Amino acid sequence: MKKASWKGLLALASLSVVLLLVLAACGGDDEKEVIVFTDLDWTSGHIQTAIAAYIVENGYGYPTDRVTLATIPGFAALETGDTQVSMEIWLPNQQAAWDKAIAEGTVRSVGSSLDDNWQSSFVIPGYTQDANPGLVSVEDLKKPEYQALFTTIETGDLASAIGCIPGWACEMVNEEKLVGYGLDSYVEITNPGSGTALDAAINGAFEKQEDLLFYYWGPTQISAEKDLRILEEPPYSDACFDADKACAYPVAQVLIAINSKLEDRAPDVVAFLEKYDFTAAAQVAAESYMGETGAEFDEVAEWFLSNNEAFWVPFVTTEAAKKVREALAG
Amino acid sequence: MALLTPIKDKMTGGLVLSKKQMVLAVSGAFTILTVGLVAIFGAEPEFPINRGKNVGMKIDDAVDWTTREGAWLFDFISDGVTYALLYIENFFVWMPWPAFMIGVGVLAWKVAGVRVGIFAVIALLLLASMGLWHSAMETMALVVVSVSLSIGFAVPVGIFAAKNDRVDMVLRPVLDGMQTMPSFVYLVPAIMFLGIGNVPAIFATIVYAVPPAIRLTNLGIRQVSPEIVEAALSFGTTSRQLLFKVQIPMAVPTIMAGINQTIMMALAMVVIASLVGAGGLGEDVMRALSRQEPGKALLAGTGIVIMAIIIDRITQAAAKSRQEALNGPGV
Repeated sequence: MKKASWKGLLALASLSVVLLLVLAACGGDDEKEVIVFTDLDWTSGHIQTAIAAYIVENGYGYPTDRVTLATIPGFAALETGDTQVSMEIWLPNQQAAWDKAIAEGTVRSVGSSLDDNWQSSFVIPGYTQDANPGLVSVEDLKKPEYQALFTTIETGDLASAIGCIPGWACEMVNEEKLVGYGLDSYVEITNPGSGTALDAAINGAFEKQEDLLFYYWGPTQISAEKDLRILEEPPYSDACFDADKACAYPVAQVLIAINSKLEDRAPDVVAFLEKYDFTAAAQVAAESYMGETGAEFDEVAEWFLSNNEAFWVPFVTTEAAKKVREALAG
Repeated sequence: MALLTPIKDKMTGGLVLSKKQMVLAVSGAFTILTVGLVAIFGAEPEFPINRGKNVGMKIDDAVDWTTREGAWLFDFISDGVTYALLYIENFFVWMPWPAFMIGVGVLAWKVAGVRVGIFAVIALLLLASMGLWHSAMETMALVVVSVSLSIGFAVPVGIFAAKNDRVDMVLRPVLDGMQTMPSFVYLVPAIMFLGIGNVPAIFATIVYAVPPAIRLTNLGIRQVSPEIVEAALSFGTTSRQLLFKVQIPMAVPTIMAGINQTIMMALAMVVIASLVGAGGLGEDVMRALSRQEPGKALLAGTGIVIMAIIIDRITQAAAKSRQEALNGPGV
């Protein structure tokens, strides 16, 4: 190699640096501002966020960003305006924070979704019930033969019921229910520590076919994949929940929420979110596709939108529908 | 800079590049070319293969298989550790608080001096007055069990690594991994194997806290001066005598420093442990945080710090006095 080639390399290097700078400078010519989603860290949260973000980005032309956050920091980010949309606010579990934000006017609800959800303090695996057909209702836990299924070294003679995530409203409710049913001398609540740990404990028990009594809710990945049975409780009533809570949980409200400032900035997106709805059945379909193919959340969203036009077309304007279809085809 | 300066070719008077410079020039040109292509065409170039999904799913299957087939073994381990923990926890919870405070105060005074003794008692009174006593004792039991298991594991492994360079070479990246791998990566399989609660918490604590004890045991044995080893050998010691009567006693201060670090790291793991259902001060911290009560969380967190300081001062002083005993008076 001669001297010239060395110089040539230098020239090429400086040229590419200049090119990079020019391109970087050209990047910011979008007139629409980014809409940031709180990407809640559970599967229905991820899937709903991916679907909504895909429509907002391709149908309405807003660049989107997603920040994966847990429940509480996710809600705080929505309040401060660091994120603008949260697809799932579960009430009453986050009631206190929600009421405060509503009073201050920082966030507002744009409707609800997953109206066919459920939660229960007394869930058992299908194989446990198949082996113990007499274990049907909450009251059956008082029978020694069924109580003995769930004892652990730490709970001694008492059945261990894995409770809900520390800090959620259900934590207190579960304790009250035990007293309400007179189960507190038969069952002790074991703290799972976190949602991740609760899921891992359930997955482990299913692999080992071990008996487990736990709090759970749906629609979730586990409720879609596994044969869960809910012990019978008297149906929910306001009167019972005001008293000793010795009855089933009410259906939770799953709100879609926006930071109030989004309304002025992107009224078309707000209109879309107000119409948007998602069902547990749709969630289960998406979950099972994901389970079979190991697809990422974005791939699940695209698959879902491509195969369920009837589901999302009513939520969007004709123009947005056309653009989303084009994006899916391309 | 010699690397970057082309050599003047003696024959032709032109510049030639050495082999290193050639490699540098070619890789530089390639980097610039690819960066340029991305800059021009915009798209981020994908790496041609991506096996991540398949490999990940294979590992998931392996974890499921291990959970199923290893159930008897995991249940056995889990039961044993749970019994040990319950026994120790019951002891700490049963012990009246004045007895515990006086005991720790006297121990600190004897080992580390009057000032540490007084500090320990005042700090423990503070802890108790904030309503954290029961949680602190639960945490204490967790730390005692995980640190005992850690030491029982670390000292033999450290000695083995000190005696065998190949073991040392293999062990080093493993220890690095244990200290840097995000804990939930191994906690989720641990919960599947061992169930929820204190046992996976103790397991995670051991994984995180054991490396310094292994490293410093290894170092301590290797640091024993060759003159002393040679002298011992010339008196005809067997290799077993050399290890137990010369090398280990000489290494004790360093091993103690390692154990001190292990205890500190075990206490640091207490909050993570609460995420898998372990009780104690970590649970208080997590619960307060999830209810957005930073004040309560700070108090419980300070409780962990107080315990750490007391244990640290006592173990450090013990290591120091051992060092002084080895060096003899006047050194």
